[in-house]
Amino acid sequence: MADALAKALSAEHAAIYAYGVIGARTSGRLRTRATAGFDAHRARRDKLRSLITQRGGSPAEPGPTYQLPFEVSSSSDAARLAVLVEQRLTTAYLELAADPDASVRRVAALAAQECATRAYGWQPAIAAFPGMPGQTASPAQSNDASETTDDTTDETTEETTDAATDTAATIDPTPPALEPSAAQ
Amino acid sequence: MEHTSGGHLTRRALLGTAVSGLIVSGCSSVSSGPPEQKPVDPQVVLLRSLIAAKEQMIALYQRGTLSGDVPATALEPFQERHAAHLAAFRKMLPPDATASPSPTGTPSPVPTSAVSVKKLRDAERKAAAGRPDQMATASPALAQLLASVGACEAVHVMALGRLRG
Repeated sequence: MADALAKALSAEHAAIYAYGVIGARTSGRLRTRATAGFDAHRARRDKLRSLITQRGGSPAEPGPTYQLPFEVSSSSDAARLAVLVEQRLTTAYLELAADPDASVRRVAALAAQECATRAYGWQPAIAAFPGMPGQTASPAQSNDASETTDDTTDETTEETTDAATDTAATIDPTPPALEPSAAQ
Repeated sequence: MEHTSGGHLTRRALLGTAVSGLIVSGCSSVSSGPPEQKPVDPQVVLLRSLIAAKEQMIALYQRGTLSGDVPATALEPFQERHAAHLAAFRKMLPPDATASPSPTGTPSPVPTSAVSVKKLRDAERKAAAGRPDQMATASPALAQLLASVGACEAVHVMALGRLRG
């Protein structure tokens, strides 16, 4: 499970980088949301570093820069990137949820809930099994347009609810959302 | 315990009589107490309680009411996701285990009256908050499933807040 901790830390490093980009491409309410996400991921990164150190490991440092999965040139792109980052982090925390240590499982569970709700804040779509491989989210229904994400409601797809029912094996997470673009 | 009635003896009762006969005849290797019950797997106990709680959540949604201009179908996707969770929990039960909750369990009564969105939100929040504790004793695969289910429930809390019911 030390590997799961390292993967989660790696994903948090990438998320912090991504949120820097997201903040630079947004304004107003979205910028505020980006700032909150940036701060939250820094706190989670520090927690993971602490857990790795407590186990006698050496937490990896972030890469100098990361290659984004697509060009982020608008607030809509930024929101899409934020959703992707949060979804991949949810998967990383689901892997960590299998750790033998109950306290680490708690950290993973709460972090997964935070990531899933942040993703919903960026794009109001809901999956039955957030973080499970193969999950896509269905658009959520709302009668209050002022509370929905400003410009990110057009990217959702149909929900598949059966992808997570084969739970006999533990989760092998998808790769991190972002890869360092240079050697660390 | 096997019961007989009306003078009819079942095969198991007859077998029990035969075992008692062995005891009486001095076979010390057979316990004279009541038949020992196979210890219940803690994972099965946990899964049964999870299944019972999910069934209650679905029952709540079946009585959920909305007001204003919110479409009556707005709660259906929530209920469908809970049904998916329920199916996943049931799938993790061993084939020889029934989904029935333990007889010692005391499930909360499901209200028969209409349930407000606020009450649904409270139920979702409580469910999500309880997942970390449940994960502490769960198998690794079940812990991961519970983390995901809890994340969905946490999102439900937000999404229900956008409905007016």
